Amino acid sequence: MNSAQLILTVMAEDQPGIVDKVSKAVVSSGGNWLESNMSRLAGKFTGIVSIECPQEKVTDVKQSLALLSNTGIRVLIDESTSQAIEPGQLINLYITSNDRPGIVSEVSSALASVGANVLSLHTECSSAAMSAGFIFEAKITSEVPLDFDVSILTDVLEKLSDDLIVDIVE
Amino acid sequence: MSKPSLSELLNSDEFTQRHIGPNESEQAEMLEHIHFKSLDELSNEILPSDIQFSNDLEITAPNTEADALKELKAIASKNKVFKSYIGMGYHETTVPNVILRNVLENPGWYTAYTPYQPEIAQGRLEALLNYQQMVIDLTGMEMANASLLDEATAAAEAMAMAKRVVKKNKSEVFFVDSSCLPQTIDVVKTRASAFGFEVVVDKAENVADYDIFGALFQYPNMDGSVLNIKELIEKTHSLNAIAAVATDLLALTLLEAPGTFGADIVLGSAQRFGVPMGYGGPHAAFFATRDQFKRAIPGRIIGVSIDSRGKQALRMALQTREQHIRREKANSNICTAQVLLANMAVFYAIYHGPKGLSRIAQRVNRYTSLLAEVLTTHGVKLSTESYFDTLTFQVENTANVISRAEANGYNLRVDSSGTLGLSCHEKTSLHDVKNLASIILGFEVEADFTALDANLTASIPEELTRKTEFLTHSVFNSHHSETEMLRYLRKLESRDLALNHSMISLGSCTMKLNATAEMIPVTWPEFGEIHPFAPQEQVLGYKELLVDLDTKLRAITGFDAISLQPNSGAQGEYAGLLAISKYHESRGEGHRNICLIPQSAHGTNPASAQMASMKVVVTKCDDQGNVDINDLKTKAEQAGENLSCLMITYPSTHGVYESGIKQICNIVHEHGGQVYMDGANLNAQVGLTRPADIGADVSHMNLHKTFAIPHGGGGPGMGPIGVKSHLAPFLSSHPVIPVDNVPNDNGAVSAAPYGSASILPISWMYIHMLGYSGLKKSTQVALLNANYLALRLKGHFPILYSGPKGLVAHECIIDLRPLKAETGITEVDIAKRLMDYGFHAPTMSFPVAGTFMVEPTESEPKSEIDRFADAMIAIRQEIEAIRKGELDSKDNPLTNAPHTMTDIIEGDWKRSYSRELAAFPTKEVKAFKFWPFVNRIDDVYGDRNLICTCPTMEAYEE
Ligand SMILES: Cc1ncc(COP(=O)(O)O)c(C=O)c1O
Repeated sequence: MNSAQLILTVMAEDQPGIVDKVSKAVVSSGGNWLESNMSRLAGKFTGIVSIECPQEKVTDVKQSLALLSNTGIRVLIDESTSQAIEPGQLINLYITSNDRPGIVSEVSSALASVGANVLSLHTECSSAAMSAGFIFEAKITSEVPLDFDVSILTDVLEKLSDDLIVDIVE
Repeated sequence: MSKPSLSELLNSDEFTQRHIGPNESEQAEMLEHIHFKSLDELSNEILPSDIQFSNDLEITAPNTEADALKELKAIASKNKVFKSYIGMGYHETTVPNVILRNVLENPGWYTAYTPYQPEIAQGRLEALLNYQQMVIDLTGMEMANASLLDEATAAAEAMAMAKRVVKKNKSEVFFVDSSCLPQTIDVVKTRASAFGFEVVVDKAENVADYDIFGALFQYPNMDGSVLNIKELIEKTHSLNAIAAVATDLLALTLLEAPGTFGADIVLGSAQRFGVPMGYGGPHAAFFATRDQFKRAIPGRIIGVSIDSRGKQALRMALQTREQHIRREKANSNICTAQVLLANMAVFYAIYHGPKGLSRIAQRVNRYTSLLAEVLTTHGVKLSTESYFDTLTFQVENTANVISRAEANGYNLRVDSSGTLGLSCHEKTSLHDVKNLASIILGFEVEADFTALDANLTASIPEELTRKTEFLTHSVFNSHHSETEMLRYLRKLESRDLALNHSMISLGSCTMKLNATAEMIPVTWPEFGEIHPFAPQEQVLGYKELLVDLDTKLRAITGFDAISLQPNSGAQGEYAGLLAISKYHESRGEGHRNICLIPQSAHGTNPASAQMASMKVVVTKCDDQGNVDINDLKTKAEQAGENLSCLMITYPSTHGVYESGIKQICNIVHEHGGQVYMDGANLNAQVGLTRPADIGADVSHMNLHKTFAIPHGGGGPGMGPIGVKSHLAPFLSSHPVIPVDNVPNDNGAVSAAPYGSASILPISWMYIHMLGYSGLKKSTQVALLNANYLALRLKGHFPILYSGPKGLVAHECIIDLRPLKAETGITEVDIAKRLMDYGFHAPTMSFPVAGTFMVEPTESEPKSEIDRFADAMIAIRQEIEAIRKGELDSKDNPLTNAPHTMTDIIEGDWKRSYSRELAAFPTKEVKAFKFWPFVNRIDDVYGDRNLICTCPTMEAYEE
C-alpha cells in the first residue's frame, strides 16, 4: 500500500478539546496519528502533527480537516516529500525570530521543503527584554543526508522573514 | 524669626536640594509612610551590615552652581585652543547655531532614552532614519545602522562581522592597510587578539599576498592619498574575502562611493558633520553594508513599519540580532550608542543639504590644493599625488616647523619618521593657508591665490571622482532657511517624551536629573575645540579634570586605578574582561576562560564575555531573584582551574542588595577567579558601600547613569572601569597618546585615549556640586523614593523581590503576569496605556519577562511619584473592570492604547468607553497632555518587510 505523510499545523484560539477534534477528524477520514507537538503560544493554541494515510485517502483527510475551520480551528497541511530516509547527519538548529501566528508551521514547512527531517522541535515564546515584543525561539534537531549542504537549511529558513536568525549549533 | 547664620545664608548645599526631588518635609512624610525615622536608619536597614561603609570621605564639600562653574572655568582655561590641522579622524567643524541651541543644548533631545517605546519617540526615530539614509547615500551601500561608538570600534565590528558572513573561507587572518589611522589599527588588533584572529598590517596594494577572511582600507588614507579602492576591493574579493572601507563623509561628497566599487562594509566617523572634537568624543560612527548581510550587522537599525491604523510608523528593527535578546550569540555587545551625536550629524546634513556639503568639501579641498601648490612651487615634495584634505611631506627641520606652528597657534602632526602632515577642514580660511605655507617654508609667503586658483589641477583622480547622486530625498533639500530648520527640529522634538515632560522610571537605566549647570561646560570651546592628540601642554585643563575625576571615582568605589577610556558600560565590560584575561595569562593561567553569569544578568554581560572569547556558563537564581549560591559553588567547582571570572550586578538586577554578596565573591576567589561587578547600579552604592570593599576586582561605572551624563536618546555615555592594583597593569593603552601608568602594548578599546572626554565635565560638576554629603544623600533618597513607590503600589500589584526585611533597593519589579493570566491584558498594553497618562513605561521584561522594573531615582519629587503611582493604580482599576466584564475584553482603553489625536477626533466614536477616558484619564493630563504621534506599532510587520531608508515625503503626510 502506498502511504502518504502529511504535516499538519494547527492553529486556534485556545479552547478545550482542540486535540480531540483534530484527532477525530484525522482518524475518521482514514488517517493515522504519528507524532505531535502542541503548545499555547501568545494566547493561541498551536500544534504540529505528523500523520500518515493511504495515498487515496489524502483528499478525504484534507476535506475533513478543512471542515474544522467552522469551529475556529485552522489546519495547514503539507505533504512531506521526503522519501524513506537514509541514515544521515544530525543538525542542531537554533532559531530566533519575532513571534507571529503560524511561525511553527512556516519553519516546519521550510525544513520539509528541503527534505530535512525534524526529529525534535522545542519552541518557546517570551516577552523580550526592553522592547517586550514577543520573541520566538526554537531548538530543532533535524536529520539530513550525509552529503547535505547544511547552509541550505539556514538559507531556506532565513528566507521566511528578515528578523529570523538561524544558528547551527555545533 | 531667629537670625540665620552666615553659612545658612550662603546655602552651599543649594544644589543638593535642587538635585533631590523630595524636600526635607516630604522626605519625612515618605519615611513615615514606610515606617522609618531617618534616611540613615533606612539605608542601615536595607544594606547588609557586612558591606556598609561608614567612613565619611573627604572628597569634596558641596558647592553652589555658580562656584562650581567658576572653578571648572578656571580649569578649562588651562586648555589652549589651537587651530587643529592634526586630522587623523578628528576635524574642526562649525556646529550650526540652530543645532547647537536646539539639539545639543536642549533637554528635549538630550534627556530622552533609547527609543524602546516608539510611539512616543517618533521624532528621534525619524532623525535616525534620516541618518541611515544619509549614510546609505554617501557610502553607496544598501543599509546602515544608527550609530556605533567611534570609527575604530566600527572597524573592529567590521572585522567581527566579516568573519560571521564570509562563507567557505576558513582563514583566521584579517588584513589592515598600514595607512589606516593608528588608533583604528590598534583597536582592531585588540579585538582580534581576543577573538584569536591574526592581523596583518601591510601596504594596501599587497592585500592579495595573504590568505585572509577580510581586509580594511582607508579612503582617503592616513597619508592623505586617495587610493584606487576599486582595485583593492576586487583583489580582496578574488580571495573570497570581505572588503571593508573606512572613510570620511565629507570626502565622499567628492569621491565616488565605496559601494559603487563593490565594498561590503563601509564605516567611519560622522564627527566632522557638526560635532565638536571634544578631546576625543562623543561622536557617532557610521556603519553600512549590503542588504544580504542585514542579520549580521551590529548596532541599532531603525526601520519603517505601520501602526494599528495602518499609518507609517518607525521603530527599532531586527532586534533579534541584539544583545538583550541574543545574549552571547549577539552580533555585538553594543547598548548605549551615540544617538544624540548621530542626530546632530544628520541635522548638519539637512541644514546644509547636498549642495552645501559639496561646497564645504570643495572649499576644503581647494584650500588644500592651494597650499599644496605653494609648497611644491617652493620645492616641498608631497608624499602623495592625490589627496582630499590631507597633505604629508618631509621638511629639513621638522622641529623648527612644529615650533613655528605652535608659536602661531597651529597644530600640525608629525609621525615617528619625522613626516609632517596636516588636514584642512571646514574652518580653514585663505588666511590660514597663507599662514601655514609661511610656517612650513619658514618665510613670509606672498602668493596671488586668485591666479593660482585659476590654474589648479584636480587632486582627486578622475576615476574616483563622485558621479553618483546623494541626499536627493526631500528632507535634505527643504530645511535650508533657519526658520524651516528651527521648526523641523521642534516638530520632531514634540513627538518625543523626555525627562522635561515627566518621570521616566526605567529600572537599571537611572534617568536622574541632568542639571543645566552640569551641561553648560560641555559647549565651552575650551573643552569642545580640543583635538584628542593635541600636544600635552595644551591640555593641562583636561589633565587636571581627568586626575580630579580619577581621584574622586577611586575614593567613591575603593578601587586603586581607573581607566577613563571605555565609551559605554558595555565597552567597560569588554575592557574589564580583557584585563582579567591578561592578568590570568600573566600568571601562566591563560587557560582560564569560563565566565559565570547569573541568569538575571543584563544582555551586555554575556555578549561582552563572548567578545573576550570567554565561555559563558549561566548560573541559576533562587526564588528571591538572588544568585543561587549552591549552584554558583557547583559551577565554580566544575569550572575549576578554567574559571576566569564571575560577572555580577550589585545591587542585583532585581533591585535587591543580596546579603550573600561577600560569600559569592569569596567563592569565586577561592577557585582562582576574578569578580567583575557590573556597575549599572552603582547609584545605589555611592556613599553607602563600595564595590572594591565588597570584593569586586573590577567594575564599570556608567557615568550616564550614576553620574548624571544624559542618555541623549540612546547615547552618549561613558563606562570607565575601576580595578584593584593587581589588574592595573592590564588597563587599555593608546597608540598615539600614552596613558599614564599603562604599558603601551596593552591595546586600546576606543579610538580616543580618554573616550568621550568632553562629557566628563558633566560628572565633574555633579560630584562637585553635591559634595560627598550630597552624593550620599542622593543614594539614600533613591532608596527612599523606590521604597515609597513600592509601598504605594504594593496593594495593587505584586512586588516581585525584596530583601529579607521586605525592602527593595533603588528599584523594584512589578509582576504583571498574574493579571495577564487572568485577564489577557499584557505588559505591553499597560506600557502603552501609561502613555495616555503622560508617562514613559518602566523597563519592560528585564530581568524578568512579563514585568515592569521601576526606578524613580532621587531626582523625582514626591508629587511626581504619586502621580505615577496614581496612574498605575487607575490602570489597575481599568483592568479590574475588564476582569469583571464592565469593560469589553477586546475593546477597552488598554488594548487600544495609546490613543492618538486621530482616534479622538474620529467623527463616529464606536468604542465601549468614552473619549475622555481614552485621552484625558486624569485632570493632570487635561492640564498638560502629551499626544503619542502614532498608534500602537506593529513590529512583526516591519521586520517582515524591512525598510531602513526614508519613505517619500508624501508617505509621512498620510
Ligand atoms: C545592568 C546593566 N548592565 C550593563 C548595561 C550596559 O551599559 P551601556 O548601555 O552603557 O553599554 C546596562 C545598561 O543599559 C545595564 O542596565
